[in-house]
Amino acid sequence: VPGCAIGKQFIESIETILSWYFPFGLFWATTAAAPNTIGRVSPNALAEGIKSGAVADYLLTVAKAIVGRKVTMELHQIRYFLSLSKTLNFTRAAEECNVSQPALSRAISQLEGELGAELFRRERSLTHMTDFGRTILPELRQCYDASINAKVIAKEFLKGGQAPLNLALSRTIEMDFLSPMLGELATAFPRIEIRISRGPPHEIAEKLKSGEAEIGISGPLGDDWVRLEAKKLFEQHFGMLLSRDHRLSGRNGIELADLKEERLLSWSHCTLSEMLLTRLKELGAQNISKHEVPSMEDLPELVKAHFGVGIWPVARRLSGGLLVNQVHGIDMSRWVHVHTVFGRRLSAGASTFVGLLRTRDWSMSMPPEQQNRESVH
Amino acid sequence: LTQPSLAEALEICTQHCKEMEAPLAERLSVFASDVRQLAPQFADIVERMVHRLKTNGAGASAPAIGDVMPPFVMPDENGHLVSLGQLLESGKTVVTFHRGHWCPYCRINADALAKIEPEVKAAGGQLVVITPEVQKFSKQLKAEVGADFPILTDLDCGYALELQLAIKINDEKRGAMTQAGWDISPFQDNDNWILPIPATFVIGEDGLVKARFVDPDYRKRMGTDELLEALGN
Repeated sequence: VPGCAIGKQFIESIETILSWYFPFGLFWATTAAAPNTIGRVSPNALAEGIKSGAVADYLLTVAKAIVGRKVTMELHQIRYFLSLSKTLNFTRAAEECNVSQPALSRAISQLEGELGAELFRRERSLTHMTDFGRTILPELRQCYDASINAKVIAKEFLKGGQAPLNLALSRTIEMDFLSPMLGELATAFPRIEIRISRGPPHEIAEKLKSGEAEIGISGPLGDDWVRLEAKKLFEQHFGMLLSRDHRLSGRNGIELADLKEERLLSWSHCTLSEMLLTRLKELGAQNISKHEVPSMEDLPELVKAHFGVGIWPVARRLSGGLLVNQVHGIDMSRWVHVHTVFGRRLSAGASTFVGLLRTRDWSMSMPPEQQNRESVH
Repeated sequence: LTQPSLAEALEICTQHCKEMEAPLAERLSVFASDVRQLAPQFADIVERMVHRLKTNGAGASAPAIGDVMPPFVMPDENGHLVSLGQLLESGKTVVTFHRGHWCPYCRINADALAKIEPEVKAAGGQLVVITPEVQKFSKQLKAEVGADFPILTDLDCGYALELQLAIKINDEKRGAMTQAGWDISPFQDNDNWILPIPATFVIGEDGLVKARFVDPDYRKRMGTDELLEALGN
């Protein structure tokens, strides 16, 4: 009844409680006063609603929703947690998430209840993250990001996803390894434009930093920028590329010392060649000659012509007259990773591609002698 | 002499429960009592976790009957992308969340699903299983139970979280699982220890949920009779 003080107080207290659950404001259908409209009601409309029973129905719906929502690990709880972990301030986190401070506070407590431990320590005006909070932060963030990405991928599948995808690859990764996944990507996002570049690790790192590339696929980048994230994909093994009539080709593996007398061929910025050279110098090969070619494709012809020997991926196919022999006494393998930049939202195409890379059974792409190796860390 | 891990010790029980001539619920409960007998402490930890999840209402707000099933796109065990939309174009779809190839309950459940697969197809339906595991392990589960249905990877439990089915394994359970021989990190390509609550949704061609089974007690699964009945409607 308009003007009734007790009625007004009653409604206000319900509104306060409900606003905890519905932080965006209290709304209901004013079916009695204006059918099919939804909005904050006027006192008159409310009176009408009470008479017609619409308010009672609404409150029942809300009550059911509240009971049903008493759940664990919800997306919004994790979003609030991520925001609070950044700001360490309930008011600012609530602003950032566009919710009321009590709603945020409550969601954090619920999440703490589900996880069975405190995420934050509230001390007067200061908020600290607990050790538990710090441990669990990256785990929940990854799950949260996966969820956001999954939604975007499902929405854009077969329709959108035309954002260009820039991939930066290490020079030793054959397209065979990636072509099945690129094929899947092209089917999923018919309008996607893919740009692939190749380069040494430091160039890939620079491209990721500047945003020129979204995804890098390479061995370790050797860059300590904290925002670079890497996930192991598969192990790549290297040996020495030799002509079949080379003195070392018939042996079951080469000793490091055997290489002291060889001319070493390398493409520019090849980290493995540089490591091999350092080891050979340690072994006393001070005058070993090193020759550089612009790309690895230039190597086979020079090796065939007995110009020298060079590092080569074991899994790579070879033309006639050449073979790859393994080297003892030095680790000539490395893990190929997929590199991305932490905190940068990936396009639908990019996150689909990263997902395909990470879930892939790489033993299928390996030559038979490598298939038994454990490819999971 | 090294003691066999709990996982190894339970292998015979798992095989036995897969081959038992009994309804799925009974086979799962026989297995649960085997676990209690072999490792009462482990069983206690399981009880505590299930109790905590139930008290918190875990899984209660997953899609309900009549809700639209949220769309998904995930790679199958061969790396081909499978979408819910495309599945529904060829008929009613049963979507089942499993924890992984290492979980005996999931293996018994997947085996039961593979056995009713011809009936599901005859009813104009199809099955898909979703796990957080990468393709190598999906292939193992599929080969073990002789399934024809695809096993999809929900990487980092993103879709499970969207459905509010993602749970975090606490330190107590994690320790017990690792000790029992179930270190799930390499299977999921992450170190998060987040798992889905096993659940089954029967989805009509209109994309609406026709039947669902969600129980935070991972030892309980939708019965195969119930599943077939829901498909028949």
